[in-house]
Amino acid sequence: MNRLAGVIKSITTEKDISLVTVSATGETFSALIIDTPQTAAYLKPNQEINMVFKETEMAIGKNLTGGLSLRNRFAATVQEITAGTVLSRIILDFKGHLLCAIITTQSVTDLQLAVGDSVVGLVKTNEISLMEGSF
Amino acid sequence: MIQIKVRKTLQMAAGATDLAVNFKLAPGSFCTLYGKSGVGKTTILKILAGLIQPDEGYITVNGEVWLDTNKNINLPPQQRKIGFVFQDYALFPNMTVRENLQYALNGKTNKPLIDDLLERASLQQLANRKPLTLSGGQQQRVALMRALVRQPQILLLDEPLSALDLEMRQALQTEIYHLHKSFNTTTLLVSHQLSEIYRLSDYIISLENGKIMAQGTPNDVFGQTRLSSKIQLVGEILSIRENGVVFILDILVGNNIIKTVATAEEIQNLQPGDQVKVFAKAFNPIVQKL
Amino acid sequence: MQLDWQPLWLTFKLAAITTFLLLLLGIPLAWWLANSRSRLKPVAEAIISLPIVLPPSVLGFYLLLAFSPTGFPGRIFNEYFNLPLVFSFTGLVVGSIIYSLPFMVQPLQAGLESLPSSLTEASYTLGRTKIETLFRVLLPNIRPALLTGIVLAFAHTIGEFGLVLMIGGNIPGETQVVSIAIYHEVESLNYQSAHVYSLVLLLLSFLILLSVYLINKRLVKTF
Repeated sequence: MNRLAGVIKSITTEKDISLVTVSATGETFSALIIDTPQTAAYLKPNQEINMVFKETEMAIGKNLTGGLSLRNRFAATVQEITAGTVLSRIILDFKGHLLCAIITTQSVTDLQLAVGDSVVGLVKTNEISLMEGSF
Repeated sequence: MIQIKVRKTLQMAAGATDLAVNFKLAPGSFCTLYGKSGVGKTTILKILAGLIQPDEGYITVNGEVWLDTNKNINLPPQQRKIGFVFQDYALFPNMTVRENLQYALNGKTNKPLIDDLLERASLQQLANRKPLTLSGGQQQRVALMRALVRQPQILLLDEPLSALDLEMRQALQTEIYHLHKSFNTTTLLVSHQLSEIYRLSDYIISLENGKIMAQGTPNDVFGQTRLSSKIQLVGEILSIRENGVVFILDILVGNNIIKTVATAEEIQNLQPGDQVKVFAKAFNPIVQKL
Repeated sequence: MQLDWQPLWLTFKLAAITTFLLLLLGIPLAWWLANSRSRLKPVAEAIISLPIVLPPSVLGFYLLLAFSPTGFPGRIFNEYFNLPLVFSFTGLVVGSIIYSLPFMVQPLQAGLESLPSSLTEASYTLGRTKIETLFRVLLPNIRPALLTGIVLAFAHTIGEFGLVLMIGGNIPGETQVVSIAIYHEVESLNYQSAHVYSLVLLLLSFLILLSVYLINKRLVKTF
């Protein structure tokens, strides 16, 4: 489970669903959740919050061009690659935070991904959970 | 209202521990005492039953004083309206199933009551068998019915399902819940099975080293991390299998086994048998009509 | 040969009475020992077990002193019950009870201790008294131990010699049990009678033990 600590910047609500923007290490992230400031007290600007997302929900882009619907994208460096037959485990260094992505080994080959590469980490907004406090 | 406030020094393997608890139970509630083994859960049940004398304290049950060390009041177990189901069932091997139930009538006869209890637990066919010839689940049922013969105000269950396999455990959880409702007892369960606790109890008392660490509804006690994920399940890890760079977990949630993928870091502190919380975003599941 | 059957009859009378009284005494004693956490428990256990290690003559010597009309127990029995304890059948019974006590108490205590305490606790929570619990739950579930206690006490009483000799002497019809009679016959070079007594005792002992083991096997099976 990847975890990034940040601060809530804004909350846009439509009925039960909110889009929350969170600022973490200078980047802005968005999380889509089924909660509103009325149902969850922690949904307020300047609230410290953890963003949580599964390794398998993170994608990696290299030399990205053209448009992309994914809102959460951040520059990172490949620090470690562990390749399995089907899946590979990529550790990204995002401004000193280590994040893990599990992607197919086929993609690693196609992208010619190597340690030290500059890449873009990508996470869909609906894959990020917000967590107040810690485990 | 059941009110208990007791203190007792326990001699444990690790030295003396002070058991000091103070809690109230609403009539008809289903409460679970939760905690690691050796924190005094069973001792609390036995103090309530009058089988163990606390150093000091009092117990009042619906206005009746069962124990008050200041006034030298201490009702013997025989006079407390309790039903106790022991971890090892404690069925009398020399008596048949029916005789085990009959024993609780204290020499009186009440065939309709015994017949009704036997029928509720589908034990009519086994009424004349000796307990040791029955399966674990059947013995458990006999113990449960025997505890109900005296129509107790409080039903005390000491890890009643711990020796049973999963399927039997779940069937009996349902039975226990129905009995609790239909006999309108206040039930106090000792358990460390989170899934069991979530299914049965409306109140939890979490113990550590003889002290109450937290009490409240299951969500009050266990739902402390506030999380936006809308799918939150409690289950038990059945197996962890390495699968390339990831691991596959089989987790029993209710009657279903769900499979999830986890990384090496995530499984570091996990092993089969562990109780876990599983959560997922509300956006992933696909719902289809059956 | 004219064999006197009286010693045999006397022996079995003594063993039967002793065993019966031991049962009455042994059950509460074993129950107390099994449940007691008193500091006196080891002392009581040691005293009860003494006859196992002491030579019967030592026990007999002290009992002789105690039973004599000048000893306290001897005086009590003499004055209040008009029963002399020395060189009398009554004395033999009292002596045998002390002598065979561990053989009754130890199996019963071990049997009671082997039962899970939850049986007792369950019985209490079902509204039953201590006495009801003892007779309806505990004793029925230690039947093999009860049988062992009865048989050991009975057999041990039949086999005693040194103690009887010390406190009972050799009074035909009163204290002359088989073991004494055999000794007496051998001393008088009456080997044939000694043979008959010995053989009867041997066969009977064997049959008793055999039946115990057979019954025990069946008892264990029914559980």
